[in-house]
Amino acid sequence: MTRFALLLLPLCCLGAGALAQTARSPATFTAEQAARGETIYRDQCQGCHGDKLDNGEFGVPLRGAVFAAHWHDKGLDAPFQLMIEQMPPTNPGGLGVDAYADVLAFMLSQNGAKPSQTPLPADPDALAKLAAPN
Amino acid sequence: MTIAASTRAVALVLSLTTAVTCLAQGVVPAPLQPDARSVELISARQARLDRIPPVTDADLLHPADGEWVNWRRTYDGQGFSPLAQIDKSNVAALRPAWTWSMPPNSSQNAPLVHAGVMFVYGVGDRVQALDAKTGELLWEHTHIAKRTASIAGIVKRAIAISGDRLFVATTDGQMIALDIHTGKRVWATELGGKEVDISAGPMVVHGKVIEGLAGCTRIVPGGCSFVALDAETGKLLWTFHTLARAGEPGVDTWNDLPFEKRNGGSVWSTATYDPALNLIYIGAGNSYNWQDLTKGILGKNTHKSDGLYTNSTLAVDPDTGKLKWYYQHLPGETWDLDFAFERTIADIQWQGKTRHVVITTGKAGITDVLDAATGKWLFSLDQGVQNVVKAIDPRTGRKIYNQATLPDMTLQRTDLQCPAGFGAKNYPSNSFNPTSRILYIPLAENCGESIPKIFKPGEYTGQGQELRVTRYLPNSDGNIGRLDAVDMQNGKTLWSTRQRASVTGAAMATAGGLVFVGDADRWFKAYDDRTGALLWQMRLNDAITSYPISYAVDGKQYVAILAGTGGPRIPNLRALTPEINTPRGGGAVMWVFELPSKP
Repeated sequence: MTRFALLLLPLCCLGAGALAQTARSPATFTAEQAARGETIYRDQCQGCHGDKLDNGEFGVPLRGAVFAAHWHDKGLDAPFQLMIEQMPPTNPGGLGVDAYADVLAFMLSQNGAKPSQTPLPADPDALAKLAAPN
Repeated sequence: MTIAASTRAVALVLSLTTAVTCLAQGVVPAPLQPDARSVELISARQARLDRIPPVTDADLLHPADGEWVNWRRTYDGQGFSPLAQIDKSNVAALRPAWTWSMPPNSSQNAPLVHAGVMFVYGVGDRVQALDAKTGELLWEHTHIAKRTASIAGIVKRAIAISGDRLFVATTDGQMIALDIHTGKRVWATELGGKEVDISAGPMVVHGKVIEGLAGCTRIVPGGCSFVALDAETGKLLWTFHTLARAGEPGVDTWNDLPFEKRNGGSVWSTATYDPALNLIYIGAGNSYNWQDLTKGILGKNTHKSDGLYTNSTLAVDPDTGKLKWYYQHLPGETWDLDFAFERTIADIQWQGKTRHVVITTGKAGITDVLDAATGKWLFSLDQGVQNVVKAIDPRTGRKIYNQATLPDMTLQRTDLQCPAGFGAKNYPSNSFNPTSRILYIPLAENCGESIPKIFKPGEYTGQGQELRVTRYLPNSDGNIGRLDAVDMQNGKTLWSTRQRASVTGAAMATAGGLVFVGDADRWFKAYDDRTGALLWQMRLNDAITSYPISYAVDGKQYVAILAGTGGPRIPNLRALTPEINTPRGGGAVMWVFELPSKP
């Protein structure tokens, strides 16, 4: 096994264990939310995080394996909270709570999740019951 | 007017007003007229502003000790104050003189002080003139930007002053000239469309406003540039493209990547100037064509992948825009660890002779020293916080890269790059004391773990790698921040103040034997410049990522620093010290410090 695959293995095991304990549901969001979220992302986030979410000059990747590794064992309330508290750095929390849910929906869509009829709630308690992508 | 006459006049006005208002549908109060006192105070203020003498070319070349009329006080970029009233014996008593709330996210802006007036830029293009002694607002100009910008276009490190004009780069990529007496706009010149961000800010030499452009993360065909504008009219005089063009040496150093697919060469810091040589010195940053250049380096055809003039010091005649010499610090560099910052001009003793040199420290904490006239590499110093350069050729200064840290395109392994792409050193400048010839370098110790992203030809990333996880330096003792004092006569680090919080502010050495610097934990500190002993500190409202200045008004010395965050440096470094909190919301404050007056 290559060293890279060895690196991933323990993360997968940890993830499975955590999900079993807290029994979170898969995240859901609507296509409309993701579309609104994309517009907000391009306006407010792209400058640091890049047009492909993982190719920005000043911000961490928001897509791909490192993003999943960071959030896989947490509920969606965790990234939602972080975004509202810290992002964008020039106006933390200033976009309005629904806008942050929209951006989170867009990020989920860029991390392999598919939209459905059920919107992503803009509420930390409800988000805590939803699983981050892994 | 006699009292009786004025009473009659008032009665007349009142009765006329009453007559008019009775004719109207209801009773409408007359607008408030400012009282005589405010009229008198405001006109006294304008008279004071009108008396500000113009800044002459001689003033820019040899500013009076109490003036701060260039980004780093003097054309040589040394960031040194010759004022000695505040010194080692009395700095412990330093206290706030006044404070002024700045627009949110004002985090990097260096103020200027001329004739007792402080000029400062606030984020959102709010430019202000303040009484530097009392903190009173004298005038304010708000530029209405036509578009927003990314973080690189919102921050502004420098503004410039010359004659009766203040020169300010704006969020929407314009250069504006304001009258220093009134703040009124005299001219505005567009420097580019949406692809242009201006982070550095201008300088003025020979009636020319020199400005470097950034924002070449996005595909700007043919890369970035710096320009000269006529200070009187704003007319564009010349453009220097930081990526070599057809007919220039180095156009063939991009591993056969077509010219229109090349990007990079952003300018992140303001130029410095040497009057004897009549040269401006400016740095061009890295390319974002990582994959194309790395392929060449890994394939060992190194000169074909140098990527000129990325990562270079460019010495240019300010009157013509013609290149005199260039020196490339990191050929074909792919870690985003560019040499993009101030080019400090200094005289040092080296190998038994006085040498006139250009000193610049790159993001990896390696300092290159070049002959100012020829660009010949003289020597390099390594502060020991990096793992990407394993050796430096003692003849040419060419850096031999640690292959293990080059992005491995076969994705077989991660690589640990120290420092991470946001650097151990960044735009907060060094300071040089020309008497002791000690260079003060603010640093943050960090690494980044990543694997390279495979992407299609011509596609780009802001950094070359994916999976960027911040890491501590191997064997870190938990102290992330430090200020290094380096003796430029022998390259020895005399002292290094190591501390938990990243040292995120620029340094300022003074003739009072002090070095001032701020950090990520809201401390603004003064050190003994010879020993590194901490002599004074104060906890401010927010982290410091800007440039301290010192000036004098009516024979009294002041030290000023803007405290506030809003750029990426603090969020990037936060991961390493998660126990350190700074306020959210970007509140910024200009702090001015003084010694207590003698009774």
